[in-house]
Amino acid sequence: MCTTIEADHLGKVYRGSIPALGEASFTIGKGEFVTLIGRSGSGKSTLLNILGCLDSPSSGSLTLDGEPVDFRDPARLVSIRRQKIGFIFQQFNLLPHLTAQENVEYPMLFNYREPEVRARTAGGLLERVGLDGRRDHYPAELSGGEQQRVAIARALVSNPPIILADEPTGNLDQKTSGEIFSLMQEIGRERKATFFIVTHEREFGEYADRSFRLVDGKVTAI
Amino acid sequence: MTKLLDFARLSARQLMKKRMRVLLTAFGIAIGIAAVVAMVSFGEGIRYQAIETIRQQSDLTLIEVTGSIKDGTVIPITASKADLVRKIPHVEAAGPVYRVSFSTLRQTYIDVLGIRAGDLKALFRPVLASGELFPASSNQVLLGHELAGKLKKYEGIREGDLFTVVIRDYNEYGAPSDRKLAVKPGGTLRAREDALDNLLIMDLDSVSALSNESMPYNAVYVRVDDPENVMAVARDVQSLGLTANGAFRQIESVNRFMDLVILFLSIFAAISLVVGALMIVNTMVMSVYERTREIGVSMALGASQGDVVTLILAECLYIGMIGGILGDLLGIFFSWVINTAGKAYLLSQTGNLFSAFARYDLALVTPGILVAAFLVAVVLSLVSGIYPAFQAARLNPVEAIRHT
Ligand SMILES: Nc1ncnc2c1ncn2[C@@H]1O[C@H](COP(=O)(O)OP(=O)(O)OP(=O)(O)O)[C@@H](O)[C@H]1O
Ligand SMILES: [Mg+2]
Repeated sequence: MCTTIEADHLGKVYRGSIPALGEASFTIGKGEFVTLIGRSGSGKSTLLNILGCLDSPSSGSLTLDGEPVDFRDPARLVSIRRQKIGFIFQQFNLLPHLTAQENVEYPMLFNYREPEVRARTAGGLLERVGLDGRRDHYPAELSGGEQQRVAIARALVSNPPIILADEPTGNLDQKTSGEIFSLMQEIGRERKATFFIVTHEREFGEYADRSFRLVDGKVTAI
Repeated sequence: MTKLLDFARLSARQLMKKRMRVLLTAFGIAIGIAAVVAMVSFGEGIRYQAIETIRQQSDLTLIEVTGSIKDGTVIPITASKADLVRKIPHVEAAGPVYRVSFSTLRQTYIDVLGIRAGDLKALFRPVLASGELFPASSNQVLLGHELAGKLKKYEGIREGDLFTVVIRDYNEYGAPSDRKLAVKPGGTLRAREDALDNLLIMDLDSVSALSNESMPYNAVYVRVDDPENVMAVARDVQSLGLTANGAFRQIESVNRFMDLVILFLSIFAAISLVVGALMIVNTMVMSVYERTREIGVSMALGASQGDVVTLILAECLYIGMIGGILGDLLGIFFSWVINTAGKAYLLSQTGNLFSAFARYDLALVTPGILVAAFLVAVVLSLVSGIYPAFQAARLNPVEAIRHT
């Protein structure tokens, strides 16, 4: 199995403070569904942001989808984010003035696709996450679970090999959280996409092919 | 290109969310634009009136070409120069003249124009009130309408009366010496409302024979086919090393003066534009701050710094366009106020002094002014957006996403 994420001694020290992330080393294969748990403040979000090329590590190296990431090349980081990464947030972070359909299309404005392609892709994905009838609804008209489904569709829109989610169910109740997890799991299998999911709740480990734990800045398998 | 259009659509959606704020901001720019439009239109209106007044009162297409002094040497009017002048494009007629002055024995001062009868006809199309023009090489003269009246009233001289004039010359030491000459008015021109009314006109050669100067004439009069071409002809004359004068010089100086006046008026009006621009900066800085998280999320979803700058500037572009259109409309309204209320007030205050103004609009709004003002609004908005746009692009996505 080829690897999609290869983290080698990734570390992060914020200015003048104790290390937020120690030496995280792990490899994740294509299409794997992985969860990462750890105490609050253990550096989970820090690690995820580095994996998503939003933040740069203080030490160590990262290879995504076979490409060693050069964190000093902002233009390259942008295109990695466009082509290789899908983000799912705890706060959903849909744009409030755009409809569900437009929110899903949104990343294709940057990773540019023609309007017809955008409409078709976004429509298909909304259908896949079970929100076919809600295309023209604004985020404020959707429940938390529905908003997160829209966000999942949005993360998939450029067909990235890696999807990163930071506590995607942190704002959802138990039942909805389970639905979201199984949706992500199914989609991961369909698309052979790697899911890397930070979560507080241990029990969602059951969805995962593998679970990691972040303790004292180090990643260990459970 | 389609990407830009899609961005424009996205920014429009963003603005629609905050219609009131956008409108108020655009209004800030609009008031400045309107002030500039009104001031410039006012200036242009005054310019138009001044120039129209000059046009009506003077002979615009007549140019007097004289010699000039260049680097200390005199360039005189010679016969060959006169021929060159005649060949300038748009010159309808040109004729050499000799200007001198006489006085009567009772000290009435008389301006004299020496010219060939044929040239007089071609240049001025004279209409006789009585008598005839003048024959070549004789002492018979033609009187302008007012001069004829003056001579009759103060000197008792009528057509056909021989009378004596004094020509005063100065020798090389500056001492005057007088010569006497008998002339006979043989005709009188009809009133023309121009310089000919006060002239005594006689044959060119007769006049230059009187002179002790070496040159046969001291100017060439030029008739240009159309007022529009006067400046071009004047330039050609100057490139021959000669000097061109005439009523068009007044228009030139009016234009120079009005350019200055309009510049000053617009500088004052532009102060309100600065206020409008600051409003845009403020609005956009606020808008960027409110959308910090949204911008961070966009970056996570693949927006480059350039994309962020473009999105913010697109919003400024809309504000500028709305402001420009509102400003033009408001400016037209302000000008209308100047043309109705303002004019009525001016006329009531100044009475007949400005009665010429009653015929025209005080403020002249031209399409050029409106287009320029619109462009100013757009450019100003874009410039105002630069700081907020780069502020947005410099956001750290991780921190921005955490922003509440
Ligand atoms: N910009 C920053 N400057 C300084 N320290 C920071 C910064 N961001 C995070 N930290 C510190 O880094 C450590 C790891 O933070 P991080 O957000 O990765 O934790 P986390 O595991 O995601 O926590 P949680 O489960 O609460 O989300 C924390 O101690 C935090 O205080
Ligand atoms: Mg976190």
